[in-house]
Amino acid sequence: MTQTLKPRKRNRSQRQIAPYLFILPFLLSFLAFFLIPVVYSVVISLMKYKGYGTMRYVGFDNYRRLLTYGAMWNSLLNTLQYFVFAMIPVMIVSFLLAVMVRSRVMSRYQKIYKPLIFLPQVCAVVASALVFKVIFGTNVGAINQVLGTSINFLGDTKLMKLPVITMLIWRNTGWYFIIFLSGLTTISEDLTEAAKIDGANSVQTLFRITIPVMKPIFKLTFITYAIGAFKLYTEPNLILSKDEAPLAVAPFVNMITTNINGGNLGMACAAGWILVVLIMFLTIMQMGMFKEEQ
Amino acid sequence: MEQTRKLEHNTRRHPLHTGTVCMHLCLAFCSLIAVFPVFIMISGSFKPITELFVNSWGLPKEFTLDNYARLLNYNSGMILHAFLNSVFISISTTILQLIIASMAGFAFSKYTFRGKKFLFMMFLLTMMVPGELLLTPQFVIFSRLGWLNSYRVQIIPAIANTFAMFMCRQFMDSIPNEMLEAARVDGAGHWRIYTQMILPTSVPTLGALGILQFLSKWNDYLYPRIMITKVQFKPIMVILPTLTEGGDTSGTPYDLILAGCTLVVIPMLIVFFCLQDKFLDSVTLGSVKG
Repeated sequence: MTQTLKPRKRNRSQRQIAPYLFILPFLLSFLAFFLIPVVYSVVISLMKYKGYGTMRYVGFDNYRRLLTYGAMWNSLLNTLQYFVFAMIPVMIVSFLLAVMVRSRVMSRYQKIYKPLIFLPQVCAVVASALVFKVIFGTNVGAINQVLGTSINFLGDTKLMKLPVITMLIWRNTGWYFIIFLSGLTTISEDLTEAAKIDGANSVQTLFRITIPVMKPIFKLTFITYAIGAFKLYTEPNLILSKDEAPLAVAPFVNMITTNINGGNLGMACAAGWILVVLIMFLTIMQMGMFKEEQ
Repeated sequence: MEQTRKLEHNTRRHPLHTGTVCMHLCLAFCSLIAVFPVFIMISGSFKPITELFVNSWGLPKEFTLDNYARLLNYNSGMILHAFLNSVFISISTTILQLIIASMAGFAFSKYTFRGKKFLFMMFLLTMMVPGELLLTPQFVIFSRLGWLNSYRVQIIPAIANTFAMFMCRQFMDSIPNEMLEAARVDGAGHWRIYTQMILPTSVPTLGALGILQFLSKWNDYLYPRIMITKVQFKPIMVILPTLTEGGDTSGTPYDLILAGCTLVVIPMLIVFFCLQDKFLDSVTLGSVKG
């Protein structure tokens, strides 16, 4: 009697401990490299700290200084511009491409177009940025050579955002193309077929069936795009300079990096928290959007 | 009946319908734009710098391998070293991420335990927090620990990946519990169920996830730029933009840079064309389902 109970008891206690053991490695590295740094960054953001020596408590001074600092608002505005001017063409082009590739007459050619349109995503960001620097260069640039001009895309403050936005469009289209393509597969063939039998042409089908059905996917991609756009760093900095882009065209993340490099670690943390607030705002907006849907 | 109508419909349509031609033109044009920078990069890497200044967008007129020779000899073989650094860092990070994420995902998917909801919500909330916030405190902590300028600082802090953990859990939810229960009755332990049943079934998800994580680590620029100042530990992505020649800081050696970019991009392109479906799967991993 006791012999049959014993292994069962052992089993049960094992079953209680096992999940914790499975989670343990994840939990420990999460605590050490995520939670502790997050808490610590709250502390640093309230301090004046150069990276060495002592920290001095300054309250919300770092935040106040950032929020009244023109460069912060300027970089935020730059980020918004990179976001909006790249997102609109990316969304439209990638959606239309997906609809075209998805249409019946194209099914045979899907295998050719899909990888080609996705190709920019496979190229490393750093390498792509450097290639765009060459494409838009004043003397070495393919664009200037084709046009026979010597437009200073990379030095003229008015034009400098153009190469960056072009690269963002070039690189992101492939990604959203694949996302829309897989979204389109959820639309049943019967629906579009029925519309066709009822005499709808392809433009009507697009506006009356495809776009309404895809609406939740549009919302989702819009938010994920926006969150990604606020973290923009590599593209503008590498296309427009060797390390950090000039203030007039710098993205928001530069507020963190320049302050780390300049030894204003408190300011760097405060800028990080402003980024968190922005992203949180977007996420809450996303949740609101989905509630409305239900 | 249905089929004959479909057939009729297909044959009635002229093979060179104007709409179809337009679509082909559009798709071909966009594909061309997508490929064009890659073409400029590869063909430019075979041109001498003088040709780049007059012909940067055509095929090389004067084909040369000199750029690659100079690249490989650059700063006594530093490029190859940095390339291997990147490979080592990306692969080891990805493997460790997948191991601990699949373990945690398994626990969340197949066990009930005290604190499960709390832990899960905590992980969920942290997905909103961008890595950029962590940059500063991590920099302070690692500089105190003496971790800056090392391989471990580029690998270990990244191994707890919440997104990977969620994806693992989501997939494992689809593995039937009866299967695991049967194995348990047959006397299989927890660890054995994980290694011999869960892991083999999860291979497709882990593969797509692995590609995604590998690419994001391979592409990483900001983090190593802050944490690494010693050349010896730098990944290739941090080295590439800083290439200069002969102590000349004014002129950028575009020929050398294009060769370096090609060196970085080509292996990925080859893997992509071999594992296309896996790559495309990895895109939709977390986005559409949610």
